[in-house]
Amino acid sequence: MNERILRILIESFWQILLPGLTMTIPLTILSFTFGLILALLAALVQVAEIRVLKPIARFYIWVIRGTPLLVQLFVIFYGLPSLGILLDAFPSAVIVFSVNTGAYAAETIRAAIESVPRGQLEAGYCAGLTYAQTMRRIILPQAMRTAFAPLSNSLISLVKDTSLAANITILEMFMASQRIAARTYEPFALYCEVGLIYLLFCTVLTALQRRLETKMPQY
Amino acid sequence: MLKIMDVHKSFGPTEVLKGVSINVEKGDVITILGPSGSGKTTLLRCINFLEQADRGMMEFDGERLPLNAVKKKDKIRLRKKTAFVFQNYNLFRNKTALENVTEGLIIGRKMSKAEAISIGTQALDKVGLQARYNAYPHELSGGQQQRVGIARAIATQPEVILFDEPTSALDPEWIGEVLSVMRTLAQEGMTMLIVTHEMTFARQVASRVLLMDEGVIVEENTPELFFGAPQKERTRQFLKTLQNR
Repeated sequence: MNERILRILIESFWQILLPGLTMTIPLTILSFTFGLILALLAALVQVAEIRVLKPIARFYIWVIRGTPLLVQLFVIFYGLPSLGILLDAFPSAVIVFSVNTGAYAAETIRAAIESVPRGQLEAGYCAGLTYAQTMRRIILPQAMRTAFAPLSNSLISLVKDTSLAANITILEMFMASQRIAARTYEPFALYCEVGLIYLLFCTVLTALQRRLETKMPQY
Repeated sequence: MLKIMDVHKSFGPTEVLKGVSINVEKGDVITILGPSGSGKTTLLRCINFLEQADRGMMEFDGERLPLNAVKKKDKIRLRKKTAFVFQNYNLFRNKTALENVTEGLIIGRKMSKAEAISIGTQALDKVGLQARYNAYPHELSGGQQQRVGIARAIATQPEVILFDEPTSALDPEWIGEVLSVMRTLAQEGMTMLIVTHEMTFARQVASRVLLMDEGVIVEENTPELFFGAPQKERTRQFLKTLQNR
């Protein structure tokens, strides 16, 4: 490798990592948190068979899982203004990523709840607990243990998916690398470098997942 | 105390209960025998509203209600007068033995934590698990799990405990310890309704023995007469098949 490319890589590392820390990570954390809340609600109204809300949850999951994430970003950021709804890029991204993650995680959580044996609910009833009490204290803790690994998957996907936000003017890691690539005419080096930084992020998350999993109780 | 009248229940085209009536008085130990598929378990589950009967009445402490139209609030209230011991224990898997017992007291009955723990430890002591308060279900043997199940049932001081084949899922080596706990409860005057295949237990402990077959009660008798001089041909036949095992 020649010296010029090496210098570019070293100089750009911080220029790419910085938007990673100030944009990619906050965007991921916010979206994942809201996404989980949405997912839990969408899963619960389905398992509890709540009349009007269940079909709404099904519809939400159907639409979001059936359309590309990039299209969803464009609809919210470039499409809504023509209806008079103007959102800044960051809130647009948080909305789209939350709603998107929520749809996938909802299915994960629903399946995890359904994997808890029915006897747990019956035992709750027989102990004098209500449906909601049994769900909160007995079934959800068991379900979340099961859901942990697939939800970690969703989180790792989300980290990488935030790179799509570059398309709606958000200066995150990928856009930072694009700019440097355009300036230095070294696309190969720069895109490999940004890829490695994503890999680094995901490696940390994978290690974290491992550690938490061994600490969790096994039922 | 507890009367069940003319219970009917179908699953799809299969009629599992065809008009069963049963009368439980305080202190009764009633064992329900019968071949598989005779509706014994379904009967217990209808009493506890785990299944909704298609027809039938319940009278519990003078309160009458139709079994096919019980309100959610009444279900929760009436379930607190009973307790249920499951065939496969159904202990809360994310709770310790002690938490399994106190959960229904603290959450279901709004008891203070200290009081619940005092009752919970007493209940576990009674079933011989004083050393395993903090064990999780998966750390316990089948017999121990079922004894936690019984501790969970007695802790709430129910008016009647419903036992659904409490020893059927156990390895033979654990059956004795569970039956011995149940025997003690019976001697102390606990009202119990027990679906079981344990003939010796029924003969020695029950105050009344019922035979169910094809969704009806065939014979109801004292244990002496039921096993010694059964009235019905079906009962004789049933006892004979068991003897030949």
